[in-house]
Amino acid sequence: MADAKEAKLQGFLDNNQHWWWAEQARSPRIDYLRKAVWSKGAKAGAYLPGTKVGSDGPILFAEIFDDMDARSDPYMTTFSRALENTNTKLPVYIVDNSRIVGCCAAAPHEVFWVPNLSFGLNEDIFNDRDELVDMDKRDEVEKCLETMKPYTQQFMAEKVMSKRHKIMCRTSQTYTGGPHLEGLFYCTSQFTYYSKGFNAIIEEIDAGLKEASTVLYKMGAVPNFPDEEHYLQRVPVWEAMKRTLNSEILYAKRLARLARIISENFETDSERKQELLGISERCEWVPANRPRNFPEALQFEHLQTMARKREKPDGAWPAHPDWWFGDWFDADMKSGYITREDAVDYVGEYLIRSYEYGSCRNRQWRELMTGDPGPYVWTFGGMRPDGNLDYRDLINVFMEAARYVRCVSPTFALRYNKDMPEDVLKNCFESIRHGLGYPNIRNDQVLIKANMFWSNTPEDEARTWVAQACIVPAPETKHGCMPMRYSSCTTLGSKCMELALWNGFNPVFNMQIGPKTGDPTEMSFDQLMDAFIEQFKVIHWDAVKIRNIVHHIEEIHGRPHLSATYEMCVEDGINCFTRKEYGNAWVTTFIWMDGCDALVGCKKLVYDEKKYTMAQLLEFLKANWEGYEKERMDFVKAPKWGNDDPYADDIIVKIHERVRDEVCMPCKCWGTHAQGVPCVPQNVAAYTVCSNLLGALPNGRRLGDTCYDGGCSPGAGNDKKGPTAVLNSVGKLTHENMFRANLLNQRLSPTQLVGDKGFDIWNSYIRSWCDLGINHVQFNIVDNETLIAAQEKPEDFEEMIVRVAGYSAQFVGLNKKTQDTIIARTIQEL
Amino acid sequence: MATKSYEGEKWFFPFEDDEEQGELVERVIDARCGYWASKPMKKSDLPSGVKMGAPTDKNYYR
Repeated sequence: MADAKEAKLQGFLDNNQHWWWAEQARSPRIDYLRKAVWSKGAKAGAYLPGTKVGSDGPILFAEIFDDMDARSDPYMTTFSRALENTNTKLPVYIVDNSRIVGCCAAAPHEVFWVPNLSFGLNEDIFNDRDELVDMDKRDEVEKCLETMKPYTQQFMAEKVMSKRHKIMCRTSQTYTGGPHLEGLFYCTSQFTYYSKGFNAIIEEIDAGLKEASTVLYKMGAVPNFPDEEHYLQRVPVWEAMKRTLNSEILYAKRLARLARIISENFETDSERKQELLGISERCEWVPANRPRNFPEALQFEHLQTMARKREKPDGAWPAHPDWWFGDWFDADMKSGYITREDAVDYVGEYLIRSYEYGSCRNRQWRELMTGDPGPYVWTFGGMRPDGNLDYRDLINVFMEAARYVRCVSPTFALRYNKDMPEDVLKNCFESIRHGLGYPNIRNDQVLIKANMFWSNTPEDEARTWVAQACIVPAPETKHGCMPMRYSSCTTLGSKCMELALWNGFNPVFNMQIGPKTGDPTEMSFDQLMDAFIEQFKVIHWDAVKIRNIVHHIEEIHGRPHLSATYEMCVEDGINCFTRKEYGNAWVTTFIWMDGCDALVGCKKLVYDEKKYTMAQLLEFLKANWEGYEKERMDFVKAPKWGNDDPYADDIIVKIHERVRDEVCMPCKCWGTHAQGVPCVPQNVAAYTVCSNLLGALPNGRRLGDTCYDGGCSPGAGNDKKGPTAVLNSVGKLTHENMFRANLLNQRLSPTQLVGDKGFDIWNSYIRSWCDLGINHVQFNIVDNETLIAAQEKPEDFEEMIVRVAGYSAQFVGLNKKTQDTIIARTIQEL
Repeated sequence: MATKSYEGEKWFFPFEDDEEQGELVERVIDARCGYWASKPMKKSDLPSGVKMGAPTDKNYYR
């Protein structure tokens, strides 16, 4: 019988049907939980049928923001009272068979709605054609949203912004929205601090409050205004932190109570009764106290995370689980408190509960992240501050669990060092071979140096880095970890090429949006490149200025929970947005390389070969190449990035140098050590979604054509000389300092990567990649036949995962256009 | 999971262990979509005659 099952499982692996293997190989508990969880990812712009956006957030927040105190209290005080109200009254639930409990929302099919971010987002959700808000609550929710509108980040930010900025953000001409419209945060955690437990943090806060009380209220004390002012500013912040932490402890106790009620009154299965009592005991203990064992550590961090996400939704989720939880795991394994099998189940459940969150997003961001409720990228392994490598067995447990649960979020990033243990690398490769698309492989040494370059981070602290968003590294230290991404306006990079060709005029929107950089028919190539850089400068700097304005509003809002998790904030009694850490600024640059290839096309056919004049080229572009297919093909065939061709590569390297020196380095942002605001070229699903925002270009693209899918990836099908040529081109960029990070997508052949030989081939490829100093690479290992079969019969491939760009998604959950772009990518034979 | 079906039934439990919350009761429901849920409510909002720990089919509180 066991042999028959083994043979069946092996059959699935042999046929690359890893999703069927997972379903049969995982434990009954994980199978149940995986099938019971609601995905909050969207298909195109729509949440999946049945998903609701919970009305509790707006109602519970408005109850507080509508009262008299809110008009005079500091914003952070009111915010903390709203969170307290939410943690006290929001329904809690426990899913059958689960051992890790709690969620942001009130029911498994709901997404939690934070109502003080963007009134545009609120209106988008409220009016969504899929009736995301329960019909019987609509009238009440509408009133609550009106109450919340003046308190939203968007309302407050737009009072300060220029009309031009507002138009540009809302129409997405050069940015995909702005931080005041997205409301998505990227918080690096100081786990080493807050894992002491919330009671211990409250004790520190109480000490600060006691000191304040002495200075402010002690009878007979000599008045001293500077000291008194110091504490008058800090007392409300400390009180907000304390109120919020206490309410989060209460929320956990409510879960504990529910677990006990079920166990004592309803559950009849003796084993489950005991499990429920175990859940109850855990939630009585954490997050109030430091976890005592591995399951408690997972429950602790789960409760902390949901408190953070209920305060503001995450646009990413930086974490380093093997380093955070490794000591508890090792101790429990050693003592026999858990078995390895049970540890895999706990981790599997932790991944499922993490997948469950989702966030309340407007339609544009649901489109940009199509198929993914995240992106949540967790980091594994790497070099410790003392210079030793640390790759724990817990990484293997996470990789194994990920193969069983096959969730598209969280995904993983591996900090790769050449001397890392081979068993861990093999386990990571196995997850990639199972088609998960993760972990993506990050060059540890390059990214440590990048941290040091851009943030002047001391080397030992730079070595603690985690992926703060999809790909950007950030330290996790007291002075390094950050509450948010400093510059989260996301620009459309290739737009600068289009604007350079049209003298700042946007032909897609018919608006003059860029500076008048001159008539390109009268330009030399160098002048055209100058215009390219000038247009890029305006786009990039606008993005930074918008971010600076929104940061100013965030300082007013504050975040009581998040502030309480940073040592510096608790010590100093300051909200996390006014805290001065090293800083880690960046602007994500979507659809970037198309414009670079387009500039190469101009050089080749207009300036060097003089086959066409610039006037002719503009005529082709104006016609969107219609009637000029032969000419378009000339530009398609011009030298392209990714073929180790010096003609194209030299120009593109030059562009990156100039962008760094003339655009990024002069920017000043928050942070005590920030050296500028670098670009982060990458795409998520913007390469399809934003394809209608970018017009025809001299790389042969037409309005609406899908853009290049990575940040430094060649265009799909343009890389004709094999994987080594791709690496050689990409390796010509200096990944330590030309950008903050970059993203390279590669597709590999599944048949070539079978067995130990497959690993050896891949390992050799990765070593070359490392030697070239490239910071990132991620893989799709699935053949076209399978992808096409999945398009034809999606019901048979529901759990098949692909890497899109910066995140993974179920292939059948993507829209047809995005599916086609993945099929179009070149499969590289190593 | 509980072997008996309690679908849609609701129970009310006092906060015996938490004196600060003495005015509240926990309204517990077996949603039977595979999860149990609870929400606190004030005792004073309950109609008279509701017995603690006993099922009721009245939809007192969503």
